[in-house]
Amino acid sequence: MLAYVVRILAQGVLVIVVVALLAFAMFRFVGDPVASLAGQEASMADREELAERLGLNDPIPVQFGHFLLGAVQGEFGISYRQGRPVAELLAERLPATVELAVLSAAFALIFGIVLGVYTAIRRRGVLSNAIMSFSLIGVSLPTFLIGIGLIYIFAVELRWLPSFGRGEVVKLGWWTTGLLTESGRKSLVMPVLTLGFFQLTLIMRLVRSEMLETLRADFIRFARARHPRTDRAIPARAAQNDDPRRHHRRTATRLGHRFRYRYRDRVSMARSWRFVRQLHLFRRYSGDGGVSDVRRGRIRSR
Amino acid sequence: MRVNVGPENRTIFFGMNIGAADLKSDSVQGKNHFADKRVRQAMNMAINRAAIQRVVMRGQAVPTGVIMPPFVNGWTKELDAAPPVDIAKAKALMAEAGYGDGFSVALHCPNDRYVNDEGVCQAAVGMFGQIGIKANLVSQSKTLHFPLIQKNPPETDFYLVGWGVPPFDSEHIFSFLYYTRGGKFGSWNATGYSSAEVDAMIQSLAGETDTAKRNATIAKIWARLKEDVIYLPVHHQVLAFAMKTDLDIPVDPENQPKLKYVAFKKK
Repeated sequence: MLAYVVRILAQGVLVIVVVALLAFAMFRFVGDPVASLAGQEASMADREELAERLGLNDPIPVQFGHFLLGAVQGEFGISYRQGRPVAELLAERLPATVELAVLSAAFALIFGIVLGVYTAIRRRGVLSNAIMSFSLIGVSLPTFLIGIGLIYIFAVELRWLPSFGRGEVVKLGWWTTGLLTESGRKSLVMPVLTLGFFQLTLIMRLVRSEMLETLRADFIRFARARHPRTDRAIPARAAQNDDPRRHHRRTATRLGHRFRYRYRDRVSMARSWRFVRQLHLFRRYSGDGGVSDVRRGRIRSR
Repeated sequence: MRVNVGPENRTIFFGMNIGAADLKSDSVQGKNHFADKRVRQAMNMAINRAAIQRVVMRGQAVPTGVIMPPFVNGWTKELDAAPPVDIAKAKALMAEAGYGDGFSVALHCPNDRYVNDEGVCQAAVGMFGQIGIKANLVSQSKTLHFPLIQKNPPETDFYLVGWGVPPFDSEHIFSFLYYTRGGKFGSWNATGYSSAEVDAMIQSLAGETDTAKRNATIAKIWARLKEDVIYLPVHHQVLAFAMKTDLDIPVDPENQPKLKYVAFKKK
């Protein structure tokens, strides 16, 4: 057993080191960090100082060592694009991420269980079939596509909801929340729907199949036989009395997996949000131009 | 759909390493052919700017002989004139410089930064070929291209680049592209061009409050630079903005549409 644990851990460490090496190597091939950080009007002296400060003049193995050492301490260096510490950027976005993850999980869980139970009880009902067909969309459409679709309908055409951002946020200590303002809540609607939709359909289908299995179980059949008049109460009992070792565990395992992927989904969604933003030209182009733009380095010389 | 077309504050040109004793990417050993002014003059004559404008840019470019757009302080019609295409004379200059058989050199070019940047380079390769210069085109993303120029020493001998002038004054061009590289100046001067005389004149611009006197110095610097043929100007870039018919967004010379100029039109 101990040997097994050691082996698995060693494999894990190896994978992490290889991935770190790949990530590190990638940044050496996507361009010059000094060029992207210093901006194009930086002087030679500035550029040299920056390279020195970033440790880019050290031999490559030394640089990789620094990178690894920093990474295990939770220190990810500074973003080449924003010129700010990565750890700070991550911490800054943590409240938004957690808020979104919890809300979309709650949304998926509540509606998933209710709809799952309903479609199991009314197996042949018109509405059940409609819900089941509709859920196919959730299973098969990628998250970013749902996001773009929602933005197009509710932000661009109907103009009910904002297409990006968090709206107004309220600061509670170091935590920021969008739940306390109207614009913050509005901003959460589409992301929560987008992220929750896939999980909702997944949970719904899981709950439904577990319910169907339970409804066929002997104790339900006996219950039906004994109390034919209380037919309607039985499905509810089935949902409650279901063998917890099976049903709930299976659903819970699946939920855990989904929660882990949530961050990744958020990233892909942020991308689709940005894509639409670019389409509509609204963000950057409201600048006043002139001297202030030059100072901010917005205008690109080269 | 509406398409608005207008000039951008940006000129596209070729630069080459004229300062090094020998070039890494060329076929000539122990010598730097770009250091010979006659070679640069010949190359300047070989570029058929009208053809690039017509074919590569589909008419949307303004051929030029100077690396500053017309609305920048210091621009004159005389500076803007490029030498007429004259292959015979260019070949004669090459022969005179001792390169009658030509030479080969790597030409670095971005392929995702300027309008048809790669196309401009491909066309130029053919034009330089006419006078015996075999340019081996290395066309790559701007994230890889620009560091070649910015690194010290630069890692390119021959390159395409564009320059915009946000302050609308020649001094910006001088201090970034012509001033001897080092310290606060010349961060984009990958040519190795270094003239104490020119540097002193550029320095004097910063402290000169008499506009007439300052402009006279600018004219003097440009005359000298044009004479030295440091860069090979190609054209001023022209921008095209496409939009829905019910919007009218004029082309902005900085390529940053300003909301205050956007007009809404009825369909």
